[in-house]
Parts: sequence; C-alpha cells; structure tokens
Amino acid sequence: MRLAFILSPVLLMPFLSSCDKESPIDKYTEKKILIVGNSNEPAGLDPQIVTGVIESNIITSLFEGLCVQHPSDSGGSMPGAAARWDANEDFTEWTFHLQKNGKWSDGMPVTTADFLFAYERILSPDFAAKYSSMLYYIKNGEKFNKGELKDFSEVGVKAIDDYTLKIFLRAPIPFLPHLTKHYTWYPVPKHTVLAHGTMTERNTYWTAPESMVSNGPFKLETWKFNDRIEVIRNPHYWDADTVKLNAIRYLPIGNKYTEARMFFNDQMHVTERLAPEMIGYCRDRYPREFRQEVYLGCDFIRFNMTLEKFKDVRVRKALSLAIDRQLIIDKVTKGGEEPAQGIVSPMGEYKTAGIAKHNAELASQLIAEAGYSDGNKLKFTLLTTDRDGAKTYAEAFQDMWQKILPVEVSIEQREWKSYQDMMSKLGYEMTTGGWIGDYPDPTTFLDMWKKGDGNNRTGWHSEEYEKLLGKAELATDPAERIRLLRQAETLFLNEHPIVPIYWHTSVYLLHDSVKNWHPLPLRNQPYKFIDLKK
Amino acid sequence: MPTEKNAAKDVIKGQSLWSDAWLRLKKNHMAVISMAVLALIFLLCFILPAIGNFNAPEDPAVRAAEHWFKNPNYQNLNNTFAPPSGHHWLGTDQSGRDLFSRLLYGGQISLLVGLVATTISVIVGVAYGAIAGYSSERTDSLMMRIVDILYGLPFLVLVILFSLLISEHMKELSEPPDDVWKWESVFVNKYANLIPLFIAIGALGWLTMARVARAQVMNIKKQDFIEAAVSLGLKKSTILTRHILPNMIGPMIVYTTLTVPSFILTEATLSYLGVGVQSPNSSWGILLQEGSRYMETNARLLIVPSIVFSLTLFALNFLGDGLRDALDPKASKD
Repeated sequence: MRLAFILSPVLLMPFLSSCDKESPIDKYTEKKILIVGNSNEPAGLDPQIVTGVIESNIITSLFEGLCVQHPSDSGGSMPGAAARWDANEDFTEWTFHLQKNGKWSDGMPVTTADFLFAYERILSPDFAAKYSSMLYYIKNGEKFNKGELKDFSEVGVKAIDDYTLKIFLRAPIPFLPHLTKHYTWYPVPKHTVLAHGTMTERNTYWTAPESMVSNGPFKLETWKFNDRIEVIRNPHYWDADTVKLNAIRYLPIGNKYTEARMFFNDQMHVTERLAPEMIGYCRDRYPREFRQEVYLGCDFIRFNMTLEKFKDVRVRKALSLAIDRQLIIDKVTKGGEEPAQGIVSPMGEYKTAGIAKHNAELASQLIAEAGYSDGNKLKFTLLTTDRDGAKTYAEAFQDMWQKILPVEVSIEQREWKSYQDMMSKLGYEMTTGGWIGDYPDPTTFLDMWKKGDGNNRTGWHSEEYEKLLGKAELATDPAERIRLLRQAETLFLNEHPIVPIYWHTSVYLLHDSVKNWHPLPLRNQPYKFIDLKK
Repeated sequence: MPTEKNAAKDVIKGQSLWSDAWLRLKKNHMAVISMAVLALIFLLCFILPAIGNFNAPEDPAVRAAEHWFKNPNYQNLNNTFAPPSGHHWLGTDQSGRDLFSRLLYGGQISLLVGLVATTISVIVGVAYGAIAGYSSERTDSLMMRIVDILYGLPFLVLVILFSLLISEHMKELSEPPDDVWKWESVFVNKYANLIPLFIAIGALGWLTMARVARAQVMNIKKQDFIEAAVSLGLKKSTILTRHILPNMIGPMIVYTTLTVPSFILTEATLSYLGVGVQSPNSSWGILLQEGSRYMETNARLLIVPSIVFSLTLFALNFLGDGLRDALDPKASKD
C-alpha cells in the first residue's frame, strides 16, 4: 500500500509529461529563468566569510566587484562597480572611479564607503575571515589582519571622494583587476550589515532573503534549505539593460547521477559537473550539450608532513613516482585532464617546473633505500571524501602503490565537512584534494604553501620558498618574476609535500538554449551577459 | 522421497518431533528449492574461493592473466568494463577487477554478517526475553519498557554510532602480535574491520527477538507441565533452562531464519551509506551501491549482484516460511 503510494507519482510521470507538449526546460527558457545545478547547499552567502566554489557561483550573480569578467576573453576585464580605472607606471597605485549611478538593490548608492567598510571587515582580526590573505596585496593589509597594526587608515585603501577609490599595493600587481573579480574583494552594503549587527559580527541576518541587499545584476529572492536558491533581476542595477535573464535558480544537488538524470529529463540548463562514469555516455548521446573545457585547477595528494613516517623525502618521492597519471586519467577520471607535472596549471607565459613523473623502477629503488621491504612494510591511510567516484579514485592509487611498493594502504572515506576538518587539523596521513585557481596568475597556486596559510594543510613550510615568492612579488621585470616563481615551484616540488595528479578540466552539460556562455578557465561566466533563447 | 508406506513404518518405530517436522518441510517444494539454492550459494561463496586460492600462482599479475579464480581486489585499469568471457566469467568492473570473484568474496561478508549478527541477537534476545517473561510482573514491565525505549531510537543511526565507537577501540586489535596462531591472525586480518559491524548490528538487533521470546515464555509458563515442575519444587533457573527454553526452540528457529535476511539488508544499507566494509573489499551491499552508478552505461554491474542478492533473500524467506509451517503447524492454519 505504502509502496504503491510512493510509486504512483513515479509511474504517472511519463503520462503526465506526455500530456504536456512543452518540456519544463522550454517553459523556463521562455520565462528566462536559468536553472543551474550547484552541487550542494552553500555554507553561506556573505562574500567575506565563504571560501567555496559553490558559494562563489551564487555570489557572483548577487554582487559585483570593481571589475567584471569579460564573457568570452578569460584575460579581459569589463567595468563593474568601477566605470574605469588606471594604475601608475609600476602597478603599485590604482585609482578606481565608481559608477555614478551604481546602486544597491534597495536603491541606496554604492559608494567608496561600502568598499572601505568591506575591506576593513574582511581584514579585521576579530572577524577571522579564512580568505583574508587575498587582500594581503594591499599595503599594510597583512599587518592589520595579524593585529600588528590597529589603525585601518594606515592600510592602503583611501576614499578620495564618494566615487573615487585609491588602492596602494605592497608590490607591483599588474593583475589587480582580476583580483577584484573575486568575491573577497566585493563590496558589502554598509547600511544593511550594520542594521543587523556590528561590522565584525559573523553570520547575522543580513544575508537572509528578506534583508539581503546586493549591488550585482540580481538580488536574492528565495533561499529554501536543500531545495533551491533563487535570485531575480535587480531593478536598481546600473547596467540593468544588459541583463537578459529574469531569474537564476540554483539547485543544491550533490548526487552527480541525479543531476545528470535531471538534465536528461529536461529539468536543468547547466550541470555542475559529470561523474566520470557518465562522461563517455554523455559525449556519445549529447554531443551538442557536452562541454569539456580547461579548468584552472590541480588535483593532488597531500602528505601530513608532521608525521615521522613521511619525514624521509625518498618515501614521498617514491609514492609520487609510482603513480601512472595518464592511466588514472584515461580509466578513472576520464575527463581528458592533463597529467600534472607540477602544481601550477599551464597558463600564459608560465611553464611548470615538471618534477612529477611516472617511474616505477626508481620508485621501488628509493623506497628500498629508505629502508622498507616486504618484511617491513610502510603502512598508511589515505583519506578521501564520500563523493561520487572518490572511492574508485582512491582505490586506483591504493592498487598502484601496493603493486610496485612495499606498502600497505587503507582508505578512509569521510563526509565532506569532517574531511575538511581532518585536513585543517592535520588529522590525516595522506589525503586526496585539489585546488581551483582564484585568478589567472601562478601565485594563486603558490601562495597557499606559505607557513600558516589556512589552505596549506600539509604542515610543510620553507623560509627559502617564501623568500623566493617575496622576491618575485617585488620583481618589476615580468620575465624575472616568472623565473623566480618557477624557482619557488621547483623547490616546492622537489620536497614532495604533495603528489600532483592532474590538471583539471571542467566537464558538464549545457543546454542548447543558453546563449553567450563561453568557456572560461576559472568557470566564472558573468551571468549578466547570459541569455536564454530556444 | 518417503512414501506413505515408509511413513507408516516410521510411525511404528516411533517418531520424534524433529523428524516429523522434517517430513513436513520436505513436502514444501519452495522450502526444498530454497534450501538447495542456499546450499549452492554457501558452497560457491565459501568453498569455491578456497579451491580457487589453492594452487593459485603467487604473483597476482600472473594469476589475473592465467588462473581461473582471480584476486577480487586486483585491478587492471587497462581492462575495465570487460564483458563476460571465458576468462572473466561475469566480466570486470570499473577498476578492471573480476566481478565473479568479487561477488563470491562479497557474499562471504554478507552471509557472515547475517549469521554472526543473528547469532548475537538470538543469544541476547532470547536470554533477555526469557528472563523478562518468567520474572515478576514488575521486573518484566521494567525490562520491556527498556526495550520499548530502545525501539523508539533510530536503528541505523545507533548502529552507525555504535560501530564507530567500537572500531575506535578495535584499532589496537587490528595489528595482531606475531605469535598468535595462524588461524586467528588470518581471521583478524581479514575480518577485523567487520567485527564492530557484527557486534553493532547484533547488539542492537535483538529487540524484536526479545519480544517474541517473552511472548513464548508467557505462553508456556501457564501450561500444566510447568505447574507440575513448580509443585515439585524445582528452582526457577532449572525450570527456565530445562522446561521452557527447549519448548521455545521451534518458533525461535523460524524467527531466526527471517532475521538473517534483514541483517544482510542492514549491512547492505550501511555499506551503501559508506559505513561498513573497508575499501577495496566488497560485500553485496557495496557491489549494489557501485553498480547503481552504471545503470545507464554498464547495467551488468548492477543486475548481476541484484540477482544473487534477491535470490538469497527470497530463499531465506521461503525457508523461514516453510520452517514455520513445519515446526508450528498450528500457527500456519491461522
């Protein structure tokens, strides 16, 4: 009885949909509502608190930084909250002229005070923002964040007037416009945040749908937990005429198979990503919808460097050499990824140092030198998530290692939050993981390995490494800068605190009706340009 | 097959209750078929791997290439999703592992979980139920209210918590000292991470068993032969063990056969949720979970384990039904 009751809508579905000539997706396309698969419930919507890609997808539709990503040119920046900007000769002083008609979604003007407020907020030590290091490029930003400096007026952000913002940097940063596209650099509405709490109070109600105010092309309409987040057109947006969509609906669907099946059933415009098992199938069945694009990111395995068993560099190197990356890509991840020889994804002028390779013989030789044999095996646990495919991925490493090396590997799967927690606390032995770049510059992959960085999570640090990065930052000649960064990466890779596996691709399904969606290596397509047409 | 004539002869010889039941069971075709299916599955899961491992080449690569019975955890990424062939009888899975051997090893684990957890729950449940049923009314209602409270708690959540708790303590056990005798070290190595699961399922799965046992005791203790025993001045414990427990055996066996499949299902659910058997080992639950991802692309990985799993559950249920009819003819007439 109960089973029949549960099944009845499922059984009726084909009949219901056949009565209806229009598929759900056509209806949404007509109404210009974009349906986006967004993996999981976001941890929050406060641009200065969150750290994830899931949150970023929603926040980029709600808020707007000084510059906006160009819809098709990954290196291009378009006017956002700033109408124009200029820098001095060595890129250490920048002036941003804000839009004169820039408005928050409640009609209040967006002024330099909102930017100053946002930057003071994220850099305040009391606020403890995890991503505050993104603003360390601002002169004295790091000092203020670490509490060495109490007075925010000494930090290099100045309001010349309500619409002119001056930013002083600690070093020449020609890619500052790219940084301002990242949500950590977004303004927040001073009047709304203060109406719901103090500046440094976390998780107040200002991000709730009834109170949230934003300056982007869209504003928050509904937030139903584990169901959907919907944003609608912001009538006060300065460039409202460009915005084509009436609304965007984000669906938190963690299961990649469910997500793909929803797409097959015409219930979604864009999926987040495809599970490896679905890639071949979708490539054949949905050739027009199938997307496989370069994604600026690297997947790697971390060592817990504080453990005695991983102190010997030969052990770490052997574990890295034992992995046949191409085989993993061809047979396990299947997304056409590129075997990673280093940590920095290939970009522009920068060529990676190329240390990580496959060499089984050298691997067994090194581990024998380190004193391990079949009688004295190295035992460790590989931590991974409970996400789809994570187990098969981890089992492939387990098998590769155990086949050539005298090791005994067990796999531990943890739910996402507890996995993150174990990584942060260095409560693991080895763990799979990855990093998606925030801006198109090698430092987005190199800065995180500094001592004390919240994303390091290996316990590895090196003074020499940080010195090289510091030197590179001050270098005025781009070629010299790249040479120094490469030197730093080489140093890092030779120490093997991580095992690079592959450089990402983004593999997903995109419905035909979505227009103006171009491949971008950061996958930060600006929603304001996207259109829906049958 | 016994004919009427033979049966008549047996009557003259005098017939025990057990052989009576056996005769009734044999008349039930579904139960007989179920027994045959179960015996076959047990033989396949426990004997075939032993035969296959005997004389197998030591080098896993050579073994995977030549021997008929494969190492269930040996991957060959160059041979993923291979269709069934003379070499891989049921084909290979997403990591190029032999599905046939994974199915048999997975069966070992699933069947063991069913049997061990059932044994634990029978021992605990029958003891608890019998004591409650034969004690004074106050003790009885106190004991049964405890059962009611435990009933109210979500079983799966408790099992997960409990098995995590035990496995923390088991970590010290999982590396056995060198001087333990071989069998134990083999057993501990192979099933160490399963012991918490066995204990957790068994320790929390006895509640229904306790209720059934108590009802039986309540029923039996009012009968004349118990009154006779009481009037003879026997001790309570003697009455319980000598007179009551033996008379409960029939219904308890029936209920036990029906419990085994439910525990196998629990293991499958737990493995599906990612608690339970450790990678890269398989169980039927794991095979089903992994297979469900390939519904569109390689349905074989889902269908094959589903068939074996359903077959086992059906057989156990039919056997349980048959046993109930055979051991408790009165109940079946209702």
